[in-house]
Amino acid sequence: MDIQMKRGLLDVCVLSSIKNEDSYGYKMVKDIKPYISVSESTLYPILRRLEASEMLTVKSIEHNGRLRKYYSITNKGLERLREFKEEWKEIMAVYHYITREDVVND
Amino acid sequence: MTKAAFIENIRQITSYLPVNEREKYVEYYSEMIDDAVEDGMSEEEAVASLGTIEEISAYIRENSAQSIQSPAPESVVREKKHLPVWAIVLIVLGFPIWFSLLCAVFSIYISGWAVIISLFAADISIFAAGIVSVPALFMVGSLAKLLITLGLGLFCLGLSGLMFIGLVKLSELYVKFTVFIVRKTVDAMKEVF
Repeated sequence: MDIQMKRGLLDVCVLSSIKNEDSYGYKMVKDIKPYISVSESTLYPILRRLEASEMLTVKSIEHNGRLRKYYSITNKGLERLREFKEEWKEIMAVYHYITREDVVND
Repeated sequence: MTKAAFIENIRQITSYLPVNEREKYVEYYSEMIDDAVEDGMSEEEAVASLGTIEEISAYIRENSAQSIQSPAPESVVREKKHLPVWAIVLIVLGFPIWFSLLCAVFSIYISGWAVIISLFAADISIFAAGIVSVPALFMVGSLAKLLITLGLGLFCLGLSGLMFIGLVKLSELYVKFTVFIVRKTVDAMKEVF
């Protein structure tokens, strides 16, 4: 997949993985992996970027005697997910145009 | 590789980053290993699942290069220019030189005010000469002398008025110059200290 496209999709996937409940790094990688290739190292800059653009917030919560970072989606993040759905409609329209039936000339 | 050895490696490959950035990576990877172990992996497996240190190092380099290219708005904090040690040593050792130069510059500045003040004093005396010429008018005997005194008196009054306007302007300029120099100096100080 095109790198730029993948980067954009990964942002949305990460936001989507926390849209219903807060999550943590390891679980996010596990949840997203079946759909798009992601590793711990590629997740890191995405989390930082989304945090900097205020689409998610981070809080450390104690878990089994250590701290675990939990990520929660913000209203801005939810707005981004809604935007993505709208954008995708346009992309699908382009897709249908590109993959329309060939007209056979005889 | 054990978790402790892996974390030590992370610290090493991020040694060029600011401490808080480095610790964020350490916390992040440490949490990932703990969570993988909790999920049923052995410590060795958990560390291996993160990829080789070389791969991680490459990712981290790429991240920091990107964040330099497009810094997040929050992270745009103007870095203060710290004085190198040699500059501090030079400043301390050069004190007798730069301090006397500073004193010289300051005395030139003060003498500027002295010139302005003495010009004001001259203006006042010219004005006084103009005023004094009025009673003097009654003391002179001949018409010629009276006309000369009158002329000189009016000349003095006019000259003192013009001089006063000019001197006020000159003082204003000098005050503006002072403000400008002080502001520049304070800005320069702020940047260095």
